[in-house]
Amino acid sequence: MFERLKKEKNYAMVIVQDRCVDCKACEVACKAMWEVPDGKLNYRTQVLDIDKVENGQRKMTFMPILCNHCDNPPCVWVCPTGASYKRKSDGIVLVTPNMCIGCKACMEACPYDARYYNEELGAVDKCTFCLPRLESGLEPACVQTCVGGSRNFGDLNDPNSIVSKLLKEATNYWVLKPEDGTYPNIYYISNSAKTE
Amino acid sequence: MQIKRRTFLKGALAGSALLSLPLIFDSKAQAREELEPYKPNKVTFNFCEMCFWNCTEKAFVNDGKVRKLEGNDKSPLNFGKLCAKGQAGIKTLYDDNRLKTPLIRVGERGEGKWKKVSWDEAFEFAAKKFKEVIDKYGPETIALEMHGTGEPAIHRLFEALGGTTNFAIPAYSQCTGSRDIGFYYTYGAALGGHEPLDLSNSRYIILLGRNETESLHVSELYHFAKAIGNKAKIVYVDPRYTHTAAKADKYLQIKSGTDTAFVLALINVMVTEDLINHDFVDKYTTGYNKLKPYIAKYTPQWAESQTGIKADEIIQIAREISSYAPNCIIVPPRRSTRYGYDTQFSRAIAIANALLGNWFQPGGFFKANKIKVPEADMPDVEESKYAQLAQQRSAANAVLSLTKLPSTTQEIVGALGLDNVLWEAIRTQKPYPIKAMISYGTNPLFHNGDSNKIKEALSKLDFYMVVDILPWEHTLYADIVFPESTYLEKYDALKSISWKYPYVHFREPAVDPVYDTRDIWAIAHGIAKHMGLGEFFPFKDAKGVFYSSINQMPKDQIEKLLKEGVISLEPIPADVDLSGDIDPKVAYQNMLNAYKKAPFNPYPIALGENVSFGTGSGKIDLYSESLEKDGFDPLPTYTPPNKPKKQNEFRLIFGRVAVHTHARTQDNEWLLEHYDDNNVWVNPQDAKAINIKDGEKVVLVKGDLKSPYPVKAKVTDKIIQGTIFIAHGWGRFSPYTTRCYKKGVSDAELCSNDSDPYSGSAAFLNSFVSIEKA
Repeated sequence: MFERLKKEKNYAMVIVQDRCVDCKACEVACKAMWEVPDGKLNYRTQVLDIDKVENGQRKMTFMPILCNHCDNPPCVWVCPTGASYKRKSDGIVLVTPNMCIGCKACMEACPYDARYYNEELGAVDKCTFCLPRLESGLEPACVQTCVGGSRNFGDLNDPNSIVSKLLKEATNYWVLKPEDGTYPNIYYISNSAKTE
Repeated sequence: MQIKRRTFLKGALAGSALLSLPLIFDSKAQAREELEPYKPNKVTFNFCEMCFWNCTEKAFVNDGKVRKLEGNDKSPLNFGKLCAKGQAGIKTLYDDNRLKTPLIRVGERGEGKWKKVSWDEAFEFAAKKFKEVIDKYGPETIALEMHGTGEPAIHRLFEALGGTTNFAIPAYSQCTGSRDIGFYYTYGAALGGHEPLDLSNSRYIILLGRNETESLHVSELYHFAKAIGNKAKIVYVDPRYTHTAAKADKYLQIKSGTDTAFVLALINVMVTEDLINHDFVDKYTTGYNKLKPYIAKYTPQWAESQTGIKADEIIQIAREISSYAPNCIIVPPRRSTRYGYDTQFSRAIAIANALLGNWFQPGGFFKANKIKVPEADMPDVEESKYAQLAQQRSAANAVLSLTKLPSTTQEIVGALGLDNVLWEAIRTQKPYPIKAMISYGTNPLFHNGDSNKIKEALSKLDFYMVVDILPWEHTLYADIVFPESTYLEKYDALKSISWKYPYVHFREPAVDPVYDTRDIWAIAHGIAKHMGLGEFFPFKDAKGVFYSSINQMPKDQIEKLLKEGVISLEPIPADVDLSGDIDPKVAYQNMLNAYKKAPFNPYPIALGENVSFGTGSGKIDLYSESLEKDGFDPLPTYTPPNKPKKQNEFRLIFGRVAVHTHARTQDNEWLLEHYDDNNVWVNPQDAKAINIKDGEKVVLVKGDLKSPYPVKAKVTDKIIQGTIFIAHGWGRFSPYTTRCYKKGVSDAELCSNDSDPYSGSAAFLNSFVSIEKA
């Protein structure tokens, strides 16, 4: 059994799926913030529309996705150069551009389609949980602008953080593709929790 | 190796080889460059102009470029949030298709052939043209349409030129007019641009084609999402399953154009089953005794025959919403220019809400408040020689001469104009020739129905002046084009907004103009000066106007404004919190108690104040004697929608997507990544009848008109049979907006241009079109 290692901080995002309104503010904010090159396929985060008909009833849901900053990150394991790595202090998964040879093995390995190849950088690029913003005391750009209050960010090691509270109050939460054993740090809850 | 994205949902898994490896942390830490903390060189204040909700924001500048826009968290309008459009403002600022210099037309109207000119030449040319029109036809033959924060500047110029009543704000005639007139006749108040809907505190919300999530304004959507968080019940009624339907507890696919029947039946149930809020109705309304017998015929069974919504469903909804009164709302839709009976629709909604007693109550309609701010010190423009001349000539209001509207509507139209009728006056040159037109921030070829008539109208003008950011289609017809600076490159007049939480915010340039553009105050100043009217524009640009205004404010307020970007009244009490086991009554009382200590009061009726209404009676007129006196129906009537004349013709309806504003953001790279072409939504039954498959390229046909650029058919039962849907603002034909050129089909060209007899506003959804394979 894989054991999650203890980190000083355990950054995580809790997404209240009911409150995502598919406005795409997060996607554009992220693109602006990190100068992600123009083009539909270049993104660090995305909102998926899931359109289903169940028992004759249409149910459309919106699902924000991004790097899961997995505790067992397949992208890190497959990286031949060590460009992809996971920070011990807070668990953020990053890519060091000058160490990336652009082999894209990590893109293939990622079960969440969270990485893209940045032609301008000549390296694979991905969500950093907005680490440079965190270091300046700001929230991640997608969380900061989330109009529906769907995205919530914080430290799971802190019981008073919004993410800890949301998970504690939630009747149910889930992660994506748990069967892959990646131990993600993006959690989804459906009940209409109280967020700002 | 070519790795393609977007495989995620298809489940192409590669991670299954993972073992229970111990997690090894970074062994190469020494070799890595650390990510620098984010620190913008400069932060400037602004409010967004990507749409007209004007969210308060900050612009972050690094290396002389705007890199990031962020909502100002000190603003009680948007609490730090911006939408995709707002975030994408940077791409409009740096759009290389922008108007970069003043242009004078050298080709035929519509050809888009210009010569670049200096600002002085441009001012001189405009002044000469205005003088010619004034000398030849009189100043009243100058007309204006406008939209945006610069309205006061261009309207001031218009008045200085002797322009009189022939101006229009399309936001009335093409958008909210019928809704606001309906509320005006009922409550004596229009709802206005920032609607007083207290969604976040509502427990039951009925939306009738008000697509909150896609036709979106940040704070309204923010409060709507809070209602979801509070587990409010949301009923969404629309012929089309939108993203708002996805957020609703109940979605009802109503037959197009029958919403009034639905609302009348809700009233019928409330009255018949005595579900009304008697205390409120007795105290604040007139005419209930006339409404009661009148509404009897509008039974839920009758409504079912019109709307296709089951009578039982209507009864249940009426009962449910009444049980939450007054903390519930039937939302009056924003764009109410649909079928030409829209004022009746609005009146029905206004009355239904009055029976719930939700006016100035949490979860219903709040009372908007405004902070008074000093105006810039400028001389009275009525003193201008041309204004004096116009006064002597006292020409009739062309629009009112062409319509027969109820008297109260005439007063409102006098203040806001009717853009649809104004263009018709130009096209027909009746009741007198209108010879000059100014379009400021508006594109008449995209906000009018049956828009080819506008091209004809444009040919009747001696002079057409356009002020805009991008070379949109109407600029192709302009005799002169003034390139305006974007909101990120200029100051603007101080703005105080009437809202639940009143606030004042301001705009300052984040960067110098990227191209040779100026703000609208500078443009108006330049033209005025060349007309010998310089004294009426004592400031050479918006900066002067802004400082003239704020310099009259107390010093501490100026400091606060310039330091934080916004002034609001504090403290702002928290919204009602219905989580946990709290009794809602207690939760609402707690919130109201907090408002007793707040410096503003959005709920005067809930807090026991006596309120009087702006109607003649001082009460809410369920029965409108004012309308009756003018020979109009005093109680809302229902008229079934028109029908197609031929088989396989479909009603054309349109609406917005979350990532575009009207017809003005379709050249924005970041927004195009999310929506770069419209498609035609067709019901599967209809598609089968005309043998069109999902994804097939089609064109729309109406009489001799055929949409020029093929688009894909989207075959889906999300749209009701007999109706087709397209997103607004496409079918772009200016070759200079290269990113959207020849993209999509234009709703404006194909939709109807009928009007509502009570408001004079447009009615767009009475058009039927057929679909052909491309």
